[in-house]
Order: sequence, then C-alpha cells, then structure tokens
Amino acid sequence: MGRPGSLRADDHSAFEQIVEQHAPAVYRICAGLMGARHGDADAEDAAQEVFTRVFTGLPGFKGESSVSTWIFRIATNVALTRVKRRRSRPRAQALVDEPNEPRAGPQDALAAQERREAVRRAVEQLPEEQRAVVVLRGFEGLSFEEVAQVLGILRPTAESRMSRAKERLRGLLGDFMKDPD
Amino acid sequence: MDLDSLFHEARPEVPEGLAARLIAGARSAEAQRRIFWADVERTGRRALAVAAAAAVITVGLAVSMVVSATAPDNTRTASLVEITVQAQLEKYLESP
Repeated sequence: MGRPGSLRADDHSAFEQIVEQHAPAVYRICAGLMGARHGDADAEDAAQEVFTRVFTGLPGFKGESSVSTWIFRIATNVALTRVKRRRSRPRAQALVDEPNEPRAGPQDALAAQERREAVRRAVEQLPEEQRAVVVLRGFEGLSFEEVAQVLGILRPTAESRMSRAKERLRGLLGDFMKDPD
Repeated sequence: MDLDSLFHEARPEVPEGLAARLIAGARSAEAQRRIFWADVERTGRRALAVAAAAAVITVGLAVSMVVSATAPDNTRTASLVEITVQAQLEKYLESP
C-alpha cells in the first residue's frame, strides 16, 4: 500500500492520482459492504462521499498509516454507516441488470450471474464485522495485516473473523461449491 | 469452485468513467456541503443521546435520594425486631 510523502489538498494532480488509483477498490468495498448490485447508485454515492472526505481531509493527513489504509478505513466507515442508516428504510432496487460475461456462452453467463448473486446475498447475511473482513480480504485481496490495520483490530482477530465467515458461507453456498466448474 | 474463486468472481464491477466523476464530485461545493451537514446531524444525534442518558441518570439519582430520605429508618426497625425477638426468647427460656 502506497505512502506518498507530501500530500496537499491543493495539489490537484496528486489528488487525481489518488482517486484513479483507489476508485475501483473503494467502489468495490462500498458495494460489497452495502450489498449493492451492479449499477446501484448507492455504491457510487458512497464512493463519492469517501473521496470528498479524502479531499477535505488531505491537509490533516499525517501519514501515520499508508494512504491506502487511510482511504480504505474511510470507505469501510462510510459504507457501514450507510448500512446502519438504511436499516430503517427499504433498499432501492438495482438500476441496471448485471452485464453478461464477455467471452462466455449464454448458459455459462447465466450460471456465473447466479453465483455472483448468491455470493452477494450470502455475504449480506454475515454480521458487519465479518462482512468487512470478507470484502477486504476476499474481494480486494488485502493481506490479513492490511485488513487488521484498516479495521483497527489485531491480525489474529481478522483471521478468526474470516474463518468464522468462511464457515458460515460454506453452509450458505454449499450447492455452488460442489459445482465442478 | 472454492470460496476464494467465488469471492473473486463476485467482486462488484466498477462502472465506466467512475474516477473522472469522483474527481469532479469531490471538488464540488455541493458534495462538501452535504458531508458537512451529515456530520452536523450525526454529532447532534450523538449529543442528544448523551443528554438523554444524562437525564435518565440524574432522575434515577434524584429518585433514590428522595426514597432514602423519606423511607423509615431500617436500622431502627432492625433493632426493634431484634429486641422483640430477644424478649420473646428470654420469656420462652424462663418459662418452666
């Protein structure tokens, strides 16, 4: 995870570089934690909030952690705050259908889409603390050390949360895991 | 398929042109205003919760102080019971 030396809010090209580098991961973290479907405007809106906070927070960033850790922590907090706020309100439906797999046949694309939807629903059923670890580790591929830094927990805690989450997901996704594909 | 492959496949797809929209949006005064008011609202809600908790504790303390000030003296009641029991016991022991 990167650690640029001096970052200033008025350094527009540095900010642009940060957004370009982190936007996909931030979007996936927000979408994963919020259980958003493809095209769901909520995830992009959350990502927008993250980068607005990054933009306004850059002058105060002291570099105690890497920029990535700082941004992913903001993303996790923003997404989980929105999940809590949304509990009292019904969630908006997906605006756009999942796109087809570019190189797969219609049957394969349908099966892949079904699997993605099943994983999304299963991850949504996890407690927030486990979901955060699954999204950061499983979707984003962060190391346990990085996951622990982002969530402000110890590495063994991150590992045990992942292990409990996987146990639960194996139960929920059993049928898809038996698939020889 | 193992879980890690399922996770990889299920990664949310990033919409096209996202970074450009985010860069423009982050600098807009409107987005910064929205975040400012969201923070104000959150801080206000937290302050309200703290004030409510403080009010509950204050009322609880006041009630317990009033109850302890107006309630009969338990020590005295206990000694009266003790004297009565002792007298009854002596009477019982003295009786043939």
